Amino acid sequence: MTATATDGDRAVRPATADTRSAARRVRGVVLWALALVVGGALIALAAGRPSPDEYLHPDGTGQTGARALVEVLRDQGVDVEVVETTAEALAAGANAPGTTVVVGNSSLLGETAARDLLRGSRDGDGVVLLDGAPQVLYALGLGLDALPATDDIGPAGCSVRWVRPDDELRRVSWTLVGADEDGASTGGLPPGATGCYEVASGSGDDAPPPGHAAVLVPGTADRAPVTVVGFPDAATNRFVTEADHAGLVVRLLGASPRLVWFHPNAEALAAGPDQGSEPVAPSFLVPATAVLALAVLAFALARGRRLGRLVPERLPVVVRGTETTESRAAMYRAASDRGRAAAVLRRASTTRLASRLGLPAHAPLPTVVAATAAATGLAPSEVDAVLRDSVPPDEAALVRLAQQLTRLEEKVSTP
Amino acid sequence: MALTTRTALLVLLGLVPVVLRPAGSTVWLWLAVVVVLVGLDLLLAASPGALSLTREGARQVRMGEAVTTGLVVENTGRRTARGLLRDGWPPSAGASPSRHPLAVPAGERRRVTTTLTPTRRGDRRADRVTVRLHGPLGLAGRQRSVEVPGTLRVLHPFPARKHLPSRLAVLRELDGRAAVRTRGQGTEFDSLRDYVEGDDVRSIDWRATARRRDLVVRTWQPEQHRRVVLVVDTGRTSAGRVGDAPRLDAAMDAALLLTALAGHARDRVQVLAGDRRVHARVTGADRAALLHDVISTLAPVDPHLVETDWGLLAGEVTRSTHRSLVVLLTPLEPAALEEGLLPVLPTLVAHHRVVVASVADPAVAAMRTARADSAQVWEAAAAERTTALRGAAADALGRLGVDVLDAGPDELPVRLADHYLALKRQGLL
Repeated sequence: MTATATDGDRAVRPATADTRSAARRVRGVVLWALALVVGGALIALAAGRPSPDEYLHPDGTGQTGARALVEVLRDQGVDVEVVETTAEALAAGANAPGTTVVVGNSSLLGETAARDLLRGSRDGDGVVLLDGAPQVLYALGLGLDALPATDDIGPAGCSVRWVRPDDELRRVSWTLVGADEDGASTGGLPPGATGCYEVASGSGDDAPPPGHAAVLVPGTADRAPVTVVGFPDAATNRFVTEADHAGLVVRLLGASPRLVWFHPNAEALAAGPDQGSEPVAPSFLVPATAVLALAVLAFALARGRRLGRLVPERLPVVVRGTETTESRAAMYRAASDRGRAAAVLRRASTTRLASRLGLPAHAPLPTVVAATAAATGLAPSEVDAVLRDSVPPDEAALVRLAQQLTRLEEKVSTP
Repeated sequence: MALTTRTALLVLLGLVPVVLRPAGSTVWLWLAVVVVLVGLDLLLAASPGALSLTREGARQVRMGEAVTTGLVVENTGRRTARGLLRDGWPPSAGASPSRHPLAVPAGERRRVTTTLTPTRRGDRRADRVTVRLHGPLGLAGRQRSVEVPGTLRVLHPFPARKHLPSRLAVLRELDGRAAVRTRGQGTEFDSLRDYVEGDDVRSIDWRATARRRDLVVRTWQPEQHRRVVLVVDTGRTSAGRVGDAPRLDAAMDAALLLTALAGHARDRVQVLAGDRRVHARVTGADRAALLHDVISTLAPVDPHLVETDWGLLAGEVTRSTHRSLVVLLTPLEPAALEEGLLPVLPTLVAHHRVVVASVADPAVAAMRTARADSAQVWEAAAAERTTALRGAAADALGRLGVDVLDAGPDELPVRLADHYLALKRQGLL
């Protein structure tokens, strides 16, 4: 019954309900739009900022970032500039004396970008590859190759400016060995190169000869000296304080007053090969697009021209004949006027019963009750209870009353 | 002017030269080629102005039936006219097909036929006829719209006509009996004719016989020329729809059946339709044409959303002082009746026999009996109230001496015809 009551409420105030729901709809739309804008802005901010865990990112504050190292360098008076493309690196003065270029995460360093960087920085103090992974070494053509390193790390064993003889090193990822043009191992370092920290790349009898954890390749006319490092983990926030890592990398990178930290991003990788002169799109793309647009325009013009104007027509008013009756029902229901409805139903039934039983149309109720009871065989009190005016206490009672009246009439017409 | 999709395809074909010679100038050159071709096509197309259009075909149709309307296209130009023709009709005229292919050689004429299946009663006026003539390349066309006047009158479907034969049989039976009962009295002079053996000698007109020197008898016929006035209310209450059609259509159906019946009974029928003014008035002088006249005159009459001025309509009825059977076809809407009809009824009843025929809504009866749940019971109560109010209005009319018929749209024509026959049988006209 409560459900019907709510239904009733809805039927009563359609206009209010409409405006309310309209307001709610508008508010919903506004909230959704707001959420989209705010969410979009947050996503944009998050996308613009590197993940704190990005490997060897100079601003990375996570375990694998390199922020700690960069801060220390800055404290030491080194001017550190972070760039993301080769062009930026060159613009930042990679080619000027007194500037060292360091490539942190070289996994995104494209072949072309790497060659451009080496060629472009030939007048600088040097290039440091923090992560001497095999693919980048092969691309650079330094005559070096990298093999997975074991934990069998020897002493420094070299006389390079940034290495002290008793510096201890752990976390070596790659061991660097000499290689020819095809990438085959030659067993020794390229001529003139200096290797530090001998590291085995395997154990057993058939293991290749040990390589080095860091190799300094002297500069040529085409490029600056390159230092390839096989222990990139030593520069991360997590391991930089381990063993003598801090001293090693700070001395390595802090040699020049200016440091350009090249952290290649995905765009640099994608843009790399594009610097070639061959275009991807065919040359007829633009004129063909113009022809297509013109064809669409011609099609629109052809289909848009009407064959004669629209013909208007006056339409008749559509009013249902039952409209007043339905409105009256809605009014009864809105007012929940059960007394009125019951009285109307009873009077109609009484009139029909009277006429069916041959009584005058306005016969008094007791006469009708008596005649009905006689015709149906029901007890007069029972008939009287149905026909006598009383207000049904709820809608269920009203429905029962209406159905009782119908049954009573059916009994009289078909005894 | 109008382009065709072939032009768009031609432009698209420009991809070939563009691929062969990729440059912006190729596009412009190709566009120039297309424009030149389109211009040439336009120049070579036949002129729509050289076509002369004449409309022919049916002027009226009963609603629900199809009819064809034709356009004779004569090409007075020197080029063959090829293209499309559209005969514009309002949507409810149900015109099909909406466009016709056209190919008229110079100096010849062709007929274009459109089938109309109207969905609403009333007059449908043809809108413009549009002709689009293409050039020989089919790239572009010249288009022109001209007025070719034409009107189709959509008549009332008159579904109650199926009841006419049975009621006419009753009428013939009645006539025979009435003739037996009324011979020799209450008769009207009809005509003079030569005496034939067996004629009643009392009917010899001696004066005419003296002039002609032959025996001449007067012929008599029973009184038949009773006046029947049918008043169709076209006011706001007749606009309510019962089922799919307004109440007015059902009232017209009843009026048409009674017109046909009374026409056959040689009564003089007058039909009025109006609200605040009289929209249609038919006085049946010619019995054969009466029904057609009434159907045709009532066809364009639609309900108007105004309150009916019963004083005006009653004035029209009482213009003739002859005692008549006045049938008022109006819905039994208590409020409208109390305000409008009740005040003028006493004068009408004083001079005429008045019958009020009202179209009841079967949907209200259905609402009255459906009592399954609370929503239906509220509606049942409202429907009972509506029925009681209509009953009270009918009682009030009955107390004034008016016969009230209240029936659904299907039964009302039959009820009204039967009531007329009953009155005729009892000589109460």
